[in-house]
Formats: sequence, C-alpha cells, structure tokens
Amino acid sequence: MTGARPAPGGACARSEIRRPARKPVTLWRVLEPSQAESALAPQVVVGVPADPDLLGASEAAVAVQAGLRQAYADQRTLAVVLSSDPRGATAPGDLLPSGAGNEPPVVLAASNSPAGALPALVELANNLGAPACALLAPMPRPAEAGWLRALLDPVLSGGFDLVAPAYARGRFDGVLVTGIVYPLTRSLFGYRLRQPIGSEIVVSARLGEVLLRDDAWRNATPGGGDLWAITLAIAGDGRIAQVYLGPRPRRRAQPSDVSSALAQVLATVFREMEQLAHRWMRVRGSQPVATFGEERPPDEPAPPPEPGPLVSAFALGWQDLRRLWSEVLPPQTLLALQRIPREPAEAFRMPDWLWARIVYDFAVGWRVKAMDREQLLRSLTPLYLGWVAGFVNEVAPLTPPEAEARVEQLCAVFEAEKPYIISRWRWPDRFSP
Amino acid sequence: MWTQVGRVLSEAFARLSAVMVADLPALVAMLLVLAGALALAALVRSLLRHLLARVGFDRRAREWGMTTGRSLAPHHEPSWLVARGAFWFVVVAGVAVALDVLGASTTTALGLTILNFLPRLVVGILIFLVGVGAARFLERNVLIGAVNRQIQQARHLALAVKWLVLVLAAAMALEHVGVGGGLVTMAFGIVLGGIMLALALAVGLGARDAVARALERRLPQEPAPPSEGEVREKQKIQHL
Repeated sequence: MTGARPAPGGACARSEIRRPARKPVTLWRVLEPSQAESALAPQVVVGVPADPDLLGASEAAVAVQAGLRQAYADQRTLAVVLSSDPRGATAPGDLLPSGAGNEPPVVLAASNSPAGALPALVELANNLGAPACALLAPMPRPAEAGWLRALLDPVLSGGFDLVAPAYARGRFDGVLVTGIVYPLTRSLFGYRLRQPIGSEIVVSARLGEVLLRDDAWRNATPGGGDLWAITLAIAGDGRIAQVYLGPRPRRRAQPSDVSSALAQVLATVFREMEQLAHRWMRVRGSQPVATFGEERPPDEPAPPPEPGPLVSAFALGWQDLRRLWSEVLPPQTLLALQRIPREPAEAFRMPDWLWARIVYDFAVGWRVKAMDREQLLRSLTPLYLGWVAGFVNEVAPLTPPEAEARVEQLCAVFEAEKPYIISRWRWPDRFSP
Repeated sequence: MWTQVGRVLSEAFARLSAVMVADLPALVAMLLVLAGALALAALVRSLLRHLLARVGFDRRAREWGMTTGRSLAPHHEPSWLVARGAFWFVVVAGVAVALDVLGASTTTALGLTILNFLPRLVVGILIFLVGVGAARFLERNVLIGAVNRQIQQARHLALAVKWLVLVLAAAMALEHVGVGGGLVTMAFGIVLGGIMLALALAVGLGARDAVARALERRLPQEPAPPSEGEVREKQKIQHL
C-alpha cells in the first residue's frame, strides 16, 4: 500500500531517471485520482495536503502510514500526499531517503489548499472503494496510534458519515470560530459542532459519493471545502460526529490580515446560508452531535490579551465606517453600538443579542449585495474586534469550563435571535435601513 | 394714399403667403419630426425602464458603489436616471434633425452642430459615470483597508483617492467632449503636480523622522521590535 508496493502499471507507474554524476533517483508514484486502481482496495485513505510544506507533508504522511499500520494491522490502508504540482513529486530524493520503501504516493489535487485537496482525496477514495477517507493537516502526531482509531472508527465501524476532529484550545484560540462560525452554524443547522472549520475531516464513502455529485463543491475555490462538506452532510441527513484529540500538536497558521480571514470564512458560511436557506429556515434550536474523546483544556490558561487595541480598532471603525454600516445595519443596531461605552477598555462589552443581530444583518447584506461583497465582509472587522474585546474582558477571569459555558450562552442567544434572521432573510426590504 | 397703402399691404401679405406656402411643408415636416422624436423618446424610456429593471441595474449600480444603497425615491433610482437621460438624448437629437429638416441655412448648421456634438457628449457622460463608480468603489476600498490597518486618517485618505479619480474622470470626459481644449489637461496636470509636490514637501520637511522610522521598520535585516501590546495581542489571540 505504500511506495514499496509494486505498481501494477497505468497511472501508478514507478520509473527511474539518471542524473549525470549522481546516483539514480526514484520517482514517486503519481496517482491520478480518476485513474487510481481499485485493486488496492484500502479500508482507509488518509491525505495530507502538501501546503505549506511539501517535506513536512511527506514526513507527516509517512508517520500517518506507520500509525495506520499500527492501528489497523490486519487491514489495508493508504496514506497519500496531496499536491497540485506533479513536478513536485519528481525529485523525492531531496525530501525522503531514497529507497526507504515507504514513500507515500503523491496525488494530484486541484490546489495545495485543503479546499482543493479534499475533492481529490474523496475522488481517490471513491475510486479505490475505500469505506473512509481522512484529510489531516501535516503536523507531528502522537507515536501511539490510538488517536487514529479514535478518529476513524466512528466512520469505519460506527456508521457515521462525517467526523470532525476537535482540539482542546485555549480560551482565546480560534475566536473567529467561537464568536461567529460556531454560533452561526449551530443556530442555522441545529448541530453543535464545536470546530466546523478545522481543515481536517473524515468522510465516509456514502457521503463521498454525495460530495462528488456536487460539481460546485468539487470545483470550489478558495477555502471552506470542509465546512461545505459538513453542510452537505447535514443537508443529506448524514450522521455527524466530533472527536476530541487533545491539544493541537502545532498551532494553526494564523492569517496575517484578520479582515482577509474574516472575509474568506464568512463568505463560505454565507454562501452555505444562501444555498441551504430552504433547510435552515425550518430548523429550531440545536442538538448535540455524537462526541468521542474528552475535551481537555490546556493546563495553564494563557493570560488574556490587552483589550485596548481591540477597542481602539472598534472606535476607529465606528468613526469612519459608520456610514457604510448604515447601509446594512438597522438604526436600532447602530444606536445600540453608539451607546456602548468605550472607556475604560476593560469595561467594554458588546451585548450578545447585538452581536448576533450584526452577524445576521451582514448575512442579509451579503445576500442582497448591499455593496461589493468583499468590501462588506471586510468592513465587519472593527465590529468583530469590538466583540473580541468584550469577549476577552468577560472571559479573562473565568475558568476554562466557565468560559465554555459563556460560549454556550452566546450560542443560545444566536438561536433565540433566529426568528430575526428568518424575517430579514425573507423580507430584506421590510427592515431596510 | 389709401390705395397705395392697400397695395403695399396686399403685396406684403402676398409675399408672406408665398413664403408661408414655400416653407409650410418644411415646418410641418419639422413638427412631424419633433412629434416622432418625442414618441420615440417615450418608447425608448419605457423600454429602457423595463430592460434595466429586468437585468437588476439598480442592484448592480448599488454593488458598484454608484448609489448609496439607501432607499431612494423611485424617480431617483439609477435605472430611472438612465431612462430619462436616453429620453432627452432622443429629444435633443430629434430637435437637431428637425432644425435640419427646416432647411434654413442657420438652423441647418445648428442642427448639424448638435448632431455632431451629441455622440461625443454621450461618451463623455459615460466616461464620467464610470469614473464616479470607480471613485466610489476605490474610496470604500481604501477606507475599509485603512481602518482595518488602524490608520487614523483613513477618511481623509479615502476622500483624497475619491476626488483624485473624480477629477481624473472629469478631465478625461471634458477632453473627450472637447470642452476647454488642452486647458483641462494642463489644469489637471498642474493640480496633480501641485499635490505631489505638496506631499513631497510635507513628507520631506514635516515627517522626515517618521518616514525614516517607517523605512527602518521595513528593512528586512533589522525588523523593528513591535510594541509590547502588539506582541501580547499577536501571541494571545488566534482568530482561526
């Protein structure tokens, strides 16, 4: 199942080239997803995106392959590297010891990002007839392979269609997910999936077929393929689970520009809202998803960040972007924003109902194209930073369980305000500012 | 004497009648052209209204930043303005044709002048409208980007960009229409040059140290240490 396995031919060709004055270098096998051979018939296909580090992805794939052998000794498994550049696979001697015999194959993906890697992986798993496939970020993993079983067993033997890995994170890690994505997706679709955009996902063969039938999902760029898959699973009444894997081995790469990340993530969520409006409008409340593993918060909570710069960002936005916001936000929302005292920064709070309505109003603004969509989403940044400031102030003195309870409280408000978004979505002009 | 007066009057009426008989067909033709132009203008306005409503012109204009997006009076929406513009374009063209039809040398020359001028005027207006849309779009882009980068003078920066593009569009439109000749181009060049010179002087004299510090910060070899607050914020908040 690895590179050492003799390739039957066709797309899985293994060849050699000779370089002058250098020893022969073995080329990696390049698997075309559409031509991968079903003769391999693995139980699991695990893909590791080559972005941002091909060497790291290769090493991660090798480690995953070893873990798979340990976890599923009696079954066939396959770990692959997902790369958009087939030429990147032609010089493996520089990446891994030549002749090691366990080089993972390289699969061509539409792009190096998870958005492009996931469709390629699902297509490969589908062609190979694998019951499950998993997209995992390239990062160091525990030597003991129990985490792989915890992640894959719900699909392989539990009958689940989709498993989202979740990591124990600090109170101020992933605040964009905590403040917008989790409450919004939870109130919309009714599933309490704590980390819906983790860029890692396990998909069953059944859900894979559903995903592959969706041409828009297959060709989606950029970003958001995992969230899209989750919403498609929800729309198709798929069984969803989340698995806590402990602390994340490596901190997730953070965007240099918050507004870009905000715009990209929200565009994905709002697009899902638009496409599945007929479904989420019928959903009321939320239900917990099956959860495996135990959420273990970090031992030593990090000290809270300074709220001052965040409040300043909010105040500057209020000063200069208020005119733009007035095209999206109703007068009562603007009035409530105006009444929030800015000083002292440590006392800054943004009420939950206000934040929920702001997010909902921007979703409606995105839908009716109140202005250029990219500009609209970027203009939310100061409001988001203001909410972060309030969240920091509120959560700083709390213990991790109390902080999580505070997040649950926010989610409950998002759910309580859902009639507001339904009304505005149906009749956007009725509340026109 | 009365006989002579009567003869003069009858000769005058005879001449007037002759002139009227000679020019009446042209007058009738002119009136017909005007009536036809009015009817055609009304038809064009009606067609444009329906067509622009079907393609969602008002929504697109809002997206492009050409309108504010606030609830506009029905007759102030972009589709109405375009339809009205087309209406008056056809009317003016009809008047020009009618003057030409009249046949008098002065009116013919005036009509031909109007007919020659109209296409350039329309293209000039289009250039200006595109410039207005581009100016508003860029203004928003700069404003949002500057605010997100915590630039305190974001609004001034955005306004400067907006007016620069507007003035450029106006200069291009006037140049195309032919109003002002080279004077507009020259004036624009002088204004732009003056702004650049003022900025250069302001930076050179007033903000020399600030620019030096900014340049030093951008040097890859010697990155300036961020402030303590920035370090704390970057270290503690993970948005994703």
